Formats: sequence, structure tokens, C-alpha cells
Amino acid sequence: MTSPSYPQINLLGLPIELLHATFLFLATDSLMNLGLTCHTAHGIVAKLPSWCRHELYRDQKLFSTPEVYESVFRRAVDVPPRLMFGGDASAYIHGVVSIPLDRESLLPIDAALIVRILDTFTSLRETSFFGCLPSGEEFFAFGVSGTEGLHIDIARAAETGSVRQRIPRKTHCTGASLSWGSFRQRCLGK
Amino acid sequence: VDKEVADRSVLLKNMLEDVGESDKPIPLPNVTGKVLKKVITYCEHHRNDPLPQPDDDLDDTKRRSDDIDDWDADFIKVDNDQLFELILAANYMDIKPLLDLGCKTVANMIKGKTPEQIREMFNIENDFTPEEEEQIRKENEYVSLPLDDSMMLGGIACLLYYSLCIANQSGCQHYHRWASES
Repeated sequence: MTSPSYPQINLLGLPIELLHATFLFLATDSLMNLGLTCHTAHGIVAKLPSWCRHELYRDQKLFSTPEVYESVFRRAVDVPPRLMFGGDASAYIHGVVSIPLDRESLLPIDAALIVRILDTFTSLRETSFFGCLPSGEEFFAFGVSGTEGLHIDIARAAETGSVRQRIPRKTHCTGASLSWGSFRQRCLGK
Repeated sequence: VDKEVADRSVLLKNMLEDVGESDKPIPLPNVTGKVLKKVITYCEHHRNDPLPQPDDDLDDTKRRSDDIDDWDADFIKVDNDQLFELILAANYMDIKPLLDLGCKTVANMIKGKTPEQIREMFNIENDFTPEEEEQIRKENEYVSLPLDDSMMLGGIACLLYYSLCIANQSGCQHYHRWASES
């Protein structure tokens, strides 16, 4: 029996569902580089789910005004570069379940950093992130669920105990959503 | 091929169930002989593995590409053409573990590469104008901060150390001293 000959295939010639299945193993950094190779790759990558395109939910009621909410996020981007991660290293930190991001005045809380960590370390998607604002009176807890995307749970500290004691448990926000584009624009002032 | 081996393919398993006991050959028009031979090698090696369950891949958090065992890693060391053919064959024959292996291998080839390296590796022609490329790079800016390895390792160390601190409910004085000095 003679095997039929088939035209040679290249990566982007694979069916779209197989490309999606393949690229789901990539963190956002790699997806971005792939998207920079050509129009076709860029189009495919743009349709893939990644954390940069997840919507961020907010509960504005817990802040006195939208301006306060916005100022909190502006403050959040001021993070030591040391803690900005790059590359694919999910394997090394698989199993981490909670990450504090503020610790005294050394690390102001950073929502952008959290999104970036989730982008990069895909195995961390069920990890909780938390931290106090510099005032120590308010704090965020970030939780992620598979179907609902990234939640930003916000609460006021009712006590002066440890950070751990002040983490709200499963307080899901249902407020208006804030798209990543708007969020980034606000954070970076672009 | 043993039925046990053929059953690794959901397509073949269903066809065999439909036709019953028979010596008639089963046509696989979308798979070349060379690739089929490779697929059979894979199925023979994995003949005793548990069959994948339909909801195995629903949990997106468990999608990782660094868990390829040595035999599979050696098996999948083929040129790109054959790799893509294997992926297509695994998809057509519905052999999910082989499909995952192929997809993970391609993903691993892409990880850590620059756009130029990816183009070269997969023979992709750059059809962006310089202006378009610049525009996309700007859009990607927030995830493209340049980092060296030491920063990366430092970041991971911080993350792990903080987790341990929280677990132990202890202060992180050593870290704070180190961080403020460095």
C-alpha cells in the first residue's frame, strides 16, 4: 500500500482549535511574542483568553467616591520592579496559595502586579493575593475563579490584628465591571 | 495491532465497536503510513495507561507543559513537519494524550523565544510593517518589561519566602533587611 502524499503544513496552518489548544499552554508573555510574528498569529492570539483581557470586577460601594477608588489604583502601580515577574516559571511555584503584596511600607499594593503574576504563572490562578494600603485601614483580597474571572474583593479593616486575620472570606463582588483597557488607562494615566 | 492498542484511539475504538469482530482493514485516509507507525508506537507504549476522562481538561489551572515524561520527550523529538502531522493524526484519531503531548511540545518550543526566534523556528514570514509592529509592541508594553535572570529569581524567592512567612505567621525581618539593602 502506498501512503498518499500531503502538502507540508506549518504551525499556523494547523486548524484553529488545535492552535488554541496549543497556545493555552502559554503565558501571556509568550503569547505576546507569538502575536508579534505575523498578522495571522496576532489575530489568533487576540482571540485567546488571557488574563490581560479578563474583566476586573469592583465593588465601588465600599469606597466613598469613584475618585478614591481611582486613586487607590493609581497608587497601586508604584511597585518595586524587583517584584515584576517575567518568563514562564509556573513549575517553580506550583502550590503557592496566598501572596501578600504590601508588607509594611515596603510594598504598596499593586493590582497590575497581580494581573501580571496571574498572566505569567498560570498555575497560580487559584491563589489569593492580599495586602494593606499604606494607611493600613483598607485592604484588598484578590480571588480568582475559573468561570468568573478575577475578582477584586475590597473591605475595610475592622480590627488591627494581623493581615491574615483581616482577610475577608469569600466576599464576592458583584459591582459594575471595569474593562482591562479602562483599568490600565486609569492606572498608568495613559 | 492489538485491540488494546487500537482502543487508545477513540475513533478506532468506536469503529471497532460498530463493525464488531472482523478482519477487514479500517481505513484511515487522513493519516500517512509513516505517521501511523509512529502513532502505533505511542499507543503500544501507553497501552496500559488509564484512559482520559471527558472532563480531565476542564480545570484550566492545571494546564502545564512541563510535565512530559522522559519516554514521551524522546518520542516527540521529531522535525516540525512530523510533529504537526502527529498532532493532526492524534486529533483525527482522537488520542487525547498524544494530542496534548504534541501541543505541549509546540508550546515549549515557543516559550521564552523572541518573535524573531519564533519566526525562524516555524518559518513564519513577518508581514507586519514597522509601524504595525511598533504599535503592537506598545499595546503589549505592560507585559514586556525587560528583566534579567537575577531579577526573575529574586522575584520568585520573594514570592516563596512571603508565602512561608504567612504560613508561619512570623515576621519577615530577614527579608525586609535584605530587600532594603539590595
